[in-house]
Amino acid sequence: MASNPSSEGSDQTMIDPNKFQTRLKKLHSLWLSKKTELWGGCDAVCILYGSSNEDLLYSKNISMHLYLFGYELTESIILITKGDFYVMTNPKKCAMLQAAFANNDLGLQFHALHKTKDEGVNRENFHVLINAIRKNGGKKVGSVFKTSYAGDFVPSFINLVESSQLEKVEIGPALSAVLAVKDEEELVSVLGLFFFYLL
Amino acid sequence: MESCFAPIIQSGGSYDLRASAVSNDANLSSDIVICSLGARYKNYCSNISRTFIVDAPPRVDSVYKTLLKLYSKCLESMIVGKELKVVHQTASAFLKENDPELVSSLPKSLGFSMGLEFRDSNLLLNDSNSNVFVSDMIFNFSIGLDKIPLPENERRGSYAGMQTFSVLIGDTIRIQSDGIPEVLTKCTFEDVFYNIADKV
Repeated sequence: MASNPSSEGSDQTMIDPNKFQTRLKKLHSLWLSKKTELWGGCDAVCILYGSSNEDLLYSKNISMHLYLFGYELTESIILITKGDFYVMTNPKKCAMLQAAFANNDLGLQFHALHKTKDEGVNRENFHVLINAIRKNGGKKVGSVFKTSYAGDFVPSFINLVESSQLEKVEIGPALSAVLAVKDEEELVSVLGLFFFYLL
Repeated sequence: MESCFAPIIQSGGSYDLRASAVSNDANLSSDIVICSLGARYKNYCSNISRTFIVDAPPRVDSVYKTLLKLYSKCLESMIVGKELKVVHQTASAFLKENDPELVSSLPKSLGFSMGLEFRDSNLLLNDSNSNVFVSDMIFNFSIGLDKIPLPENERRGSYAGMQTFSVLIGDTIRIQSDGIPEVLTKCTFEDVFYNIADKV
């Protein structure tokens, strides 16, 4: 069920820039407008995705990836702050996201951090993310923390978040709010299902 | 197009009305058959549940007709701006007034928000959720009545030995900016009752 572009090895895989930008904008403004009442006052929104897990059918993180990218970008960390969008993952996926960011009016600066085989480099990049959260006195990071993540990548980042004395905020309900109201494109997909039931 | 889950088909008097139910190995019995199907298209989920009744005893017939009215009443309550809990509250109030024996048969949750995730546990149609309905939200609206006692004198034929029964109707609905939700999985309720015993 996982749609992981890096395992397809195809250069045709791309993220739809329009859908991505519209939906990211929706997420970003919903976060800023309801930061205290819905997002636990978090200073940054973090979408985590562990390594491939065939047993996990549904989760907020899977939904957020399908919603924003149309694909599940395994082993990735996305961090969204007031003015920046960070992604830490393998170079190929970073490039996919960079392409999706082109010509946007989001007012967000895009930053690609590579996940490499070098633990030292990865650690440095983790610190870039921590510093981004801390920018302008930030102390709280919102994500889906109450779940287990496959692999080492995400758990080691979470460990660093904890040891950096940042406060972890659960944003499951906030993500539900983002996903609850369907846009036109989503309604078309749902209506497509309707015909199935007529058969 | 794929399945959200394996089709759930239940009969014989013992039912699990949750979306997480599984069909057991028992043969289909000709009494009350409850079916649930889920489909997924472009990663979006939907669900439909229907009850088919063979040789309906009077109590089963009356309960199902109450369920139909209950279904409409609840649908009417799902208006933009109202809290999600109003659905369950409406259901309880309707049953208290029309068939109090059924109040305890109402499940704790009458559905949930649906989309990329099959079931969003933050947006359940239970009696405490204070989130509000917004236009273009999609819900699995699943209204059932569970473990209803079947009067002893009605336990005949295929219903001999059936102490309690359940009924369920479930649809995928879209909240509309004006008026009641649009039922996306609309199909008529006409072919629900089957009479076999009469023909024997």
